[in-house]
Amino acid sequence: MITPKEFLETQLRKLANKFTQVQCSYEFHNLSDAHYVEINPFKEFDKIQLQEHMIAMLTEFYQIFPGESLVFLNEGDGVKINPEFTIRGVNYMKDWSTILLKNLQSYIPEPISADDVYSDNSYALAA
Amino acid sequence: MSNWLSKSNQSFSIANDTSSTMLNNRVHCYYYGCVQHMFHVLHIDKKMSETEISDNCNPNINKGNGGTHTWLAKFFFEDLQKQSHVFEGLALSNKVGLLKRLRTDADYSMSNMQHSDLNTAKEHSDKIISILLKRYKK
Repeated sequence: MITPKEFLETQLRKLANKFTQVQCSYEFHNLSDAHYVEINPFKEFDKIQLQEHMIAMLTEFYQIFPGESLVFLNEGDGVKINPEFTIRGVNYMKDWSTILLKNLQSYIPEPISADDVYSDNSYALAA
Repeated sequence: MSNWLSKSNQSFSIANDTSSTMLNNRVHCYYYGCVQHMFHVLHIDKKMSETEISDNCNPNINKGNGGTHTWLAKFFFEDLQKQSHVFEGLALSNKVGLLKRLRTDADYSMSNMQHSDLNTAKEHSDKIISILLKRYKK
């Protein structure tokens, strides 16, 4: 009997072969008892073809493992995972706009808490 | 208003209380505010009784369902698929899983939630509620 991790490893290899610009990382999180798959970069994650692929994978996952949870996320979701394995497409990070965006993100100011709101004035101060 | 909706509103009142510095509890309440709203939808829109919902959430009765949180994410993913809102089904399922992870870290891990975690919990919660309000009876 195949395990959820084995199933996902096989599926993520297929995904990375089809969507060659992505990186997929997997973790089983004990506290929440769920399987997490992080797919980056965000601009690939949000594409309709990849979303459709995730829907098909989740549907099959639920058919084989009805009592298990599978969650897809990306680097913009604010949750860090500790990957047990990572699979990269052959063209991952070969796009200059992706590399540039990843580096620029560290310079963008963000509100410190959910209770903070940036006014026009604070953007000017941050700049 | 169903009692579940009332409970959900109370949970979000605590979660959104900006005077509170109890971030772990606020993250907890963002998650359970969503769970209670999903129960409300199952009762009002899907006409499920409290017993039906309870039985579906109980892995000892419905072994394939995997417990409350797994079943809820799966139920809404499949139900939105049936309504042809497949992308919203995927988004809701993912957001429930991400918020659940933050909630279990808030409740069970040694570390404390930070303001960035609270931000994230609110974003995921807002997305879940916006899909539920858009696609189901209030």
